[in-house]
Amino acid sequence: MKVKISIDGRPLEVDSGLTILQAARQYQIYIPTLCDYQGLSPHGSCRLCIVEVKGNNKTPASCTTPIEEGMSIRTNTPLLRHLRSDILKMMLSEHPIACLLCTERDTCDECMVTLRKASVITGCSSCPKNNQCELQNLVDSIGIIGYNYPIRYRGLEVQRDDPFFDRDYNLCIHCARCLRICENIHLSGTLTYVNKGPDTVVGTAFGRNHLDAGCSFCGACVEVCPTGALTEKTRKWDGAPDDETLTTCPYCSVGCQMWLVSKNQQVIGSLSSQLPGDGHLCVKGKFGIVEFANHPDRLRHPSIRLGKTSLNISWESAISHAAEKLSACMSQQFGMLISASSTNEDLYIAQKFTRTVMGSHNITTPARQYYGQGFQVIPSLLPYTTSVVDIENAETILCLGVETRYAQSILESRLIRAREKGATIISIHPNPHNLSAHADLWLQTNGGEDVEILKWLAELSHAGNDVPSNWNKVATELAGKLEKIIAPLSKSSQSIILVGNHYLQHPNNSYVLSAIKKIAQSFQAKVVMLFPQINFTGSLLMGAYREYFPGGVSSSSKKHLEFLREKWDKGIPECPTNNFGENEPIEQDLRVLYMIGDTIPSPRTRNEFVIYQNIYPANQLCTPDLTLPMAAFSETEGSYLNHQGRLLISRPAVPSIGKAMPSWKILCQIAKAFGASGFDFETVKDIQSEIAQLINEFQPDCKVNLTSFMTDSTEISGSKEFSLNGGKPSNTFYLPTHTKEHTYLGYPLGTWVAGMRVLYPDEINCLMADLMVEEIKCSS
Amino acid sequence: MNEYKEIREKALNQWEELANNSIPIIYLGTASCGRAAGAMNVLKTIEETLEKFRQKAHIIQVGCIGPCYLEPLMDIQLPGKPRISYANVTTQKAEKILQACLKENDLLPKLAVGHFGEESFNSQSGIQRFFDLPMLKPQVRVILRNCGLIDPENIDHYLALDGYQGFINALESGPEKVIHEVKESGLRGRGGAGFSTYKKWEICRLVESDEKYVVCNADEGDPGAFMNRSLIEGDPHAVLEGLLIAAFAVNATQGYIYVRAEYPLAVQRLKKAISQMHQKGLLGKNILGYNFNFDIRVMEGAGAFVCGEETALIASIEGERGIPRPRPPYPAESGINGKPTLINNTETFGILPNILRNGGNWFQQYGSHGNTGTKTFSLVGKVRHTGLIEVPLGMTLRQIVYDIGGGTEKPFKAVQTGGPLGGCLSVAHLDTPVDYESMRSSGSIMGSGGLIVMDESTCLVDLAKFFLKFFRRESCGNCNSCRIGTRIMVDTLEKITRGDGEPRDLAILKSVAEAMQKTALCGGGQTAPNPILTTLRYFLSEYETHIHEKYCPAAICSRLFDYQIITDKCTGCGRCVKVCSTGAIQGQLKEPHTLDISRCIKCRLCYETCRFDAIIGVPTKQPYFNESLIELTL
Repeated sequence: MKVKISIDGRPLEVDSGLTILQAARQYQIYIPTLCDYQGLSPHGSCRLCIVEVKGNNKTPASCTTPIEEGMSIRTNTPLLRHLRSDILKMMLSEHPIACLLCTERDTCDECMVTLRKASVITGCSSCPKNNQCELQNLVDSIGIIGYNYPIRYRGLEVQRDDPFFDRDYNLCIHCARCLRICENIHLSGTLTYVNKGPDTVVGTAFGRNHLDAGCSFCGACVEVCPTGALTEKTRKWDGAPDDETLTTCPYCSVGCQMWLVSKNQQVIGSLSSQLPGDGHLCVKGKFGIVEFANHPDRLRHPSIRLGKTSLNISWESAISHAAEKLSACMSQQFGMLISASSTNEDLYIAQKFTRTVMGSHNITTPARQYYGQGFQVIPSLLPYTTSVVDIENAETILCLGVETRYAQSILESRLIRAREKGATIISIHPNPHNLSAHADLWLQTNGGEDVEILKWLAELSHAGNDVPSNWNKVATELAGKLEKIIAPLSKSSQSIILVGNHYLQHPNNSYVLSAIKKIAQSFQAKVVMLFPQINFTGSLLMGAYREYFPGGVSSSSKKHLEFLREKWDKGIPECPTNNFGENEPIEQDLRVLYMIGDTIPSPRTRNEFVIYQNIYPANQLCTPDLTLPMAAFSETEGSYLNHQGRLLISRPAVPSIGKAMPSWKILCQIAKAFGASGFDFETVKDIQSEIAQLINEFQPDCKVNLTSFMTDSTEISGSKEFSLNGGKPSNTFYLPTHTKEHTYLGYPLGTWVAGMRVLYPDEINCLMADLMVEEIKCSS
Repeated sequence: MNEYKEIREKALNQWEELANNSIPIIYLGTASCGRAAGAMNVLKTIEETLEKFRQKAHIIQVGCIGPCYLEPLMDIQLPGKPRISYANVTTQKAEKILQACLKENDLLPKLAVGHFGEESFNSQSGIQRFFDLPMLKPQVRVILRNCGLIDPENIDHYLALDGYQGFINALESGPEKVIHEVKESGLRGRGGAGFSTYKKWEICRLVESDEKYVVCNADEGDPGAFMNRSLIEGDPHAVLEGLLIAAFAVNATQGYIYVRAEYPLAVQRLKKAISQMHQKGLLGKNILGYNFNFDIRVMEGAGAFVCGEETALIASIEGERGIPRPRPPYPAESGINGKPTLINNTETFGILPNILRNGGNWFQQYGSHGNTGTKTFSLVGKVRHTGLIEVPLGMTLRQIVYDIGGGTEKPFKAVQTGGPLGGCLSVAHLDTPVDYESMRSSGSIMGSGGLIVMDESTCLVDLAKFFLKFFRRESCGNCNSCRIGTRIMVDTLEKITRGDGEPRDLAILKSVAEAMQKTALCGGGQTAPNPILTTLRYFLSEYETHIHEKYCPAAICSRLFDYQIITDKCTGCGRCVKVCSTGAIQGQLKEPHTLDISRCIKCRLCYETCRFDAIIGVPTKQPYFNESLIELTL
């Protein structure tokens, strides 16, 4: 329905239900605002968007006033200009304005005559937000004529206790964007207003620091803050960025889209984009990028090992050295290990190199070891996947081992929103976790119980109205809890099962995942496996394992072997199927071991020649003979396949550091040094068109159909049933060792990003290699 | 209907017994005003004396009957005689009166202030009628008709005096008729804004919703206002019946009374009243056999003035921070948890039973067109007769201050209406009628009914500062205009009262005040500058004296005057010497005293003790420090 109004004398027709501000914006009529922010509901606290409405002797705020038929509005009268200037002056009586009204402001940068370095911000030139500050913009556009209000600065201490960002509430102008986005969008409820009157200030309950107050460090508040009140610690003195690139976050398989902002060809920060993060990232994507990408330890040159030292060499020498060693290597003596966080193109080239140049099928990713026995079961669960956006529309959500405080904080707001719509949330997790506050039922499992519980859930789901056999042997209390879990699942038609790290990496995960599959089948539920590696699905699809050919087809398929031989115009050997499903990545004695983006956990005992290609040097126990610098995700183009099978694009934001090159390029050059054909790829697009010939749906922003993924494969068995020793608890100490989600390219993020170490203080971050040295046997 | 007849009959029987008492009845005013004056000690004395006399008597604790300056009020009703009231009863006086009345059959006519019987009793007793007291005679007690006359903790007293008859009328005639009566009455919300009550009800009634709420705003935050408190303490069922009527009219299911936590007696009386209602079947399912379900819950505030604003009140009930929300949507359409919520002031609810009993037209006989009916006010300050009054709208300030209030001792200076959000009116405005429009056009507001009378010993700059400091502390802090504006105004006023005032400070005050008026988010912020704007408008000379001459004529701003003894008036009585703690005042008996200003700490005790007006404030002679500020000019 349309409504007729007039703004500044212009008769306009707008949809009913809009506010004056929305109507004005539709017609590009400018009204200054401050507390207004896209995506947040109007707040009406800054009072800058005031307008004059005929018949109203006050000046209402246009952001909160709905339009009515026949309204006559003025947006820029002398009175409004005067009042806006007054309000701005009032705000400036609480905010350090040394530079805002200084006549030398424009020349100050050049001669720095009035700059004083102080730990307290006294004016724009000592503020991190200089030239990026919305208050500065407003002062310029509204204009200040004379200043005579009594000043009262707050004199608060700057809060630097928390990792990642500082809080200087002396600069806060009470736009309330931060607490609105925290309370209403992220639903974390960490920030609120405390005190009243002029002492009102943004804070946390009981004055705790953010770490204690339950903050997820998603950084949404920092992003929306218009002034320098909330500033990232790593971004204080960079100034305004000069470029921004839309790309995909590489830290987990959700694959949030984000903007990387850069300056002088260096990444300085990341901003959230829309789906699936819905306007925010998690702590890894928000604060884990800059230090990671710019750490001084990054590899810049190829180098070779000479005794205990290393010598930088040129790419030419490095490539020819590698080709020399590889040509002397027999097929079965070659092994390739490539990270499952690599792009599809890197993975594709790696497996093509292994198969066509080296004539071997010895390729794998560390994910195989990571998932253990479950590695064979996971592909059969992939057809049940769905987007995380669907969480909000589900009726029942079963969360298995899902911790949403840090790594999956973007899921937490979706889960809370689902619950507000009436969904039932059940969480099964061994420890107190963020979700336990929001879940309708939290089943806390003790060590070893997980499997039994899932076993019974699978049986109950299968049994329907009947009672499963041996049900009477189950303890009554546990039986009650299990029935409480099954009840909502059996009633709802839209259920989702989220599988978190604890279960994905469980020692008996093959059984666990089979049980989950049974439950999903019985209730027609969707299953979202939250892989910590962004491109695990891609690694399966690109065939980066001996079991799989590109296309995700089993390599025991003779038909597909012929197809590939034809496409690649190469003779590829048949793949031996006797070692399918075995955990060991590479068995035989090797002459050459080529590792990209990760290392194998065991220390070097063999005599092979080790080529190590990554963005950071290898850890202490791995002493590579040849080290090749790889370009980081922010420096290369490529594609990933997220958990849902959606093809996401990664774009380079900055040029490669030093002499680093993308993995695929390095491999192509080595292949060409061999004289091999089929590696004449100039750009990523060339690789993508070749892949598209083998896999139909390989188009950007397409969803690869994972249901038809594994139809050709032979059924890979291996799910052994797990039985408790008569229900009696064992006396051995159960030390859960997982490689946690915040590991990327073989290192915990905390190695390079200081703040990450603060988030997980109870944990010991050690590499598997270090444990081996201490002779600690690990269960995973 | 039958159920009501039953409970009413029981109540009437009880009331009859009381009226035809065979043993003495002693009424004692133990509302907060009485308690503050010491009524609880008097109660103890009464009980002890009765025991001493071995005399049986009913003791009924009643609410505030109006003239708080007469508290503690103890009334005695001997068998066969009307109730007789004695004022300012101390514990000694109480014993004396009880002795006289109970033992010696002496009604002490010289001590009595009034009786509650027929006029014929005047000549018989030598006592006038209580309601003919000069303070009470011009009043029209409709809302307060039961206060002071019944036991507020006994529902039967209320029932006996036509209690809940209005509600029965409502149930019998139906919601539309109820709204019609309210419309006829011309009732406007008594919380201060004066919005047409029936219009609000209509909007709320028309919204379709499975849940609707009715909320009574008893968060009376204005300093010096106690109308709602007295009504709840003295006659809680009047308010509760009003809630029932409103709930029936808009089809609500749940009611809340939001009382400020600083009114513990009111909270207690409400809770008791509500439980008695449950016992009589007046709350819950199928009330009194009609197809109407309703329940009421008491919610206490937590010390925030801003929660008297209706949207902030809703936020507080929801458990959120008490911040006003932008309107529209109005609470009648979307309030608590997004459901339609009808919010009215305590007094508005208190009026409703009368309208439903007597019809809307009846209300129109008081007041004038557009401002019908009566309103309660708390008359405080420098008047002789302070207390709770009820007058028809349209009575002038002069009538209230002089006829009812008995005028001031020292010359009248100003009257503040509407609390901290209202304005100060001067002598020139004494003939302004007290109604919504007239108050607004003179720059003030009627507000919820606070009337503070001031004489020449009040400094209006200091008063403006007081109200603004109050509001600054209570500002919710959400919007820029109010949070910063009040702080700037207080800083500037403190500068002026400290002696550092400059001419441009007036311009600052005015511009900030006008900015707040126009741009603040809620009604509180928009009206908070009223004290400043009215005092600037009507008492500008006082500001100018403070700024230019650095002198406070009312002798309040301690750095802007010195005390001086007028030797011609000083009788040498020595009282001031006794109270002076620094020895600044010296003098022999019967000789004019002297004052050494270098030792004076301006404690004001001598000024207040002197009975001969011999101590005045004069412009200061002390060396003056001008703490100049750094100016920012462009």
